[in-house]
Amino acid sequence: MPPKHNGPNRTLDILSSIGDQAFLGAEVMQNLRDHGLRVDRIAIALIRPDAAQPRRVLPETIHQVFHNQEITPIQALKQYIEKVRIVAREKGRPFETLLDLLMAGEENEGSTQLTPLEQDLRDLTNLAVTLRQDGQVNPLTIVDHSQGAVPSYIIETGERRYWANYIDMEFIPGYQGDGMIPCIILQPHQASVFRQAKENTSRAGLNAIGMARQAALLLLAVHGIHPPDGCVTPDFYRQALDLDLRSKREYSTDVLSAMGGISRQRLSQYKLLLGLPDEALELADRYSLEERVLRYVLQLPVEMQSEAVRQIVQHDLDVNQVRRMLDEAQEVAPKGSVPARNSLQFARLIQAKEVPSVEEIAQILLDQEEDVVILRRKVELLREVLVELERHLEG
Amino acid sequence: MTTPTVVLTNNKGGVGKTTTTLNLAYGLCQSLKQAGAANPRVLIVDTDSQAHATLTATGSKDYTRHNSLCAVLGADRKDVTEILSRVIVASHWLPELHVIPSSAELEATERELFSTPGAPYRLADALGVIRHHYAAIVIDTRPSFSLMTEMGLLAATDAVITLEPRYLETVGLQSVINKIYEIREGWRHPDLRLSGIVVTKFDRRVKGHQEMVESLRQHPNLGKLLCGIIPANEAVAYAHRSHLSVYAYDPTSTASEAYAQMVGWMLKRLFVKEAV
Repeated sequence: MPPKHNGPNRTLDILSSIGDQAFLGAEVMQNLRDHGLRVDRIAIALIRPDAAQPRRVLPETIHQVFHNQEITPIQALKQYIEKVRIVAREKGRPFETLLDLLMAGEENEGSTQLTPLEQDLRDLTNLAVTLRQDGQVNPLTIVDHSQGAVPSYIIETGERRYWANYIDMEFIPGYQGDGMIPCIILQPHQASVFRQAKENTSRAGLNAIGMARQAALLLLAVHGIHPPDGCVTPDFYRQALDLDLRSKREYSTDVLSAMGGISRQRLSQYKLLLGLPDEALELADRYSLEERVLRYVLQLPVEMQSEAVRQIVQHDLDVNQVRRMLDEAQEVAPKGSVPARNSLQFARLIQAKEVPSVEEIAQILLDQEEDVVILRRKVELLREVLVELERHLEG
Repeated sequence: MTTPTVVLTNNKGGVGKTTTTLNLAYGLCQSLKQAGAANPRVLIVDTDSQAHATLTATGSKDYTRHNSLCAVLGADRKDVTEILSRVIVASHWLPELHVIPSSAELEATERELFSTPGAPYRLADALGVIRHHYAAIVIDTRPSFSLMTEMGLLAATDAVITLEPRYLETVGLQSVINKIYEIREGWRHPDLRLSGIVVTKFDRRVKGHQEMVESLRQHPNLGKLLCGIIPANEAVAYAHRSHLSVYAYDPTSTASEAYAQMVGWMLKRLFVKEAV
């Protein structure tokens, strides 16, 4: 027999009488409509980090592969740990388990400094141990992104605690939890890029590249551009290079406040860092280079920027050293048809009948530079110039 | 407030457990949407290997041990979340009404679980993983006090007994109540409360039905729990055949009105913070 009086309106009619306050009473209605925040224990397997989160926990390459859904959280951590193991071995501090790394960090305190890669993983392990010992006091904030019958949540704040929980579960022996972690669930309309930004900028540790990504996310959000589903590449953030707050003045206060109360100029300085090539961005992020250092790198031709960042990292150059090195590099650069003064001096040196001794050259150069690190870098540049010169003469 | 989890139970068959499960779940979900609830999602858990609730709510009975409740109950603890994500399906009635389907292989799974330590808590543990995701969960049980039914009772916060208004049914009511209290006290599950009694297939022309309902009403404790009197109505049977809720099949039928009244009663019962 076919359905009688079938239709969505008639179906609703029969139940609408019970879905109102007169029938249910004020208390039931209040409980039903309770949109207030509460802490729930959620299975960690239902939660995913936000691919656009400016603060990176995983190294960029692993971050990209993970958000492309090519690997699971546990596989991502295994790759991360392996990457750190290689660096640690090269530095003569091999470790077997994460607890070894934690101990090694304590032994090395005050003597040899750990590399940023080792230090980040050690800090994450330390957080995992704290969670094991004291429990997770601070809940994650997650946004309900469930589609159909499949529950799923994206982290708004608390990604480090998410990864620390996985380390606790999978990489520290003796886990006895149930795989659930305390979270505050937000509905999609309650999610806020500004709240995430405030959480990021209010705590220490968001480096210059993180600030640049954060600035980009906010600028893009106020211009109605939102991150794509899945992996978010540096090119997504770079779209902000063409945007500013001039056409969105109504958001100026919110954006600058979410960035930690910085000025428009500072916002612009951070944003410009996104112009660095991918490799330079990753290195600068991993080694937490300062904005005032990187702004000098931006003055170089694009093809030289990654190499410049590599040199800064390798020789641990500070801002003054970088400024002087780049100022002088620009002075040496050819300007029109007239050779630079330094080039002429160099040519005369080559023409000299008697080559001065190594000690003499070293002493003179040290007197001029007053900095052995810059001097060594200049010698490297000179070596490259000589190789090029030979190639040029052969041609 | 923890997610209310209602189990429909009676060890007698054919008393309307599945019909009541489906119409209660649909009614709750639709009413929650109507009332503007923050989370209107409702989950039906079909623990009966006949899979009638599954068939009616999803339109399909083609579930195996790999994509039904069997997989959830047989899963290692660390895999439960992933398996639940795979097993739960949306009903074809409302996008917010979801189902953990049953399959004919559930009986074999139950037999396998007999010797597994902690087996009675397997459903409760699994639902604990996704409980927060739902405003309410409604569990349909099989007509017996089997391990599966015990699992349903241990996973629930509210038990509702369905019964036909006949003498022998009334006599059997005490054994159902005893089972609920055995789970509550003997199994140390203090969150479980007897929340309602639904009389189904009521025929006002039958004197015995009227007397039985009247005696229930007069009972000092059970009278307060009488949450619905569902008249015998052909719309219920035809709704099953059409894979529809009774409200959708014939909204003007007496059964639809009676179930709607019961849903309202349950909403008040489930969503007011009162002492158990």
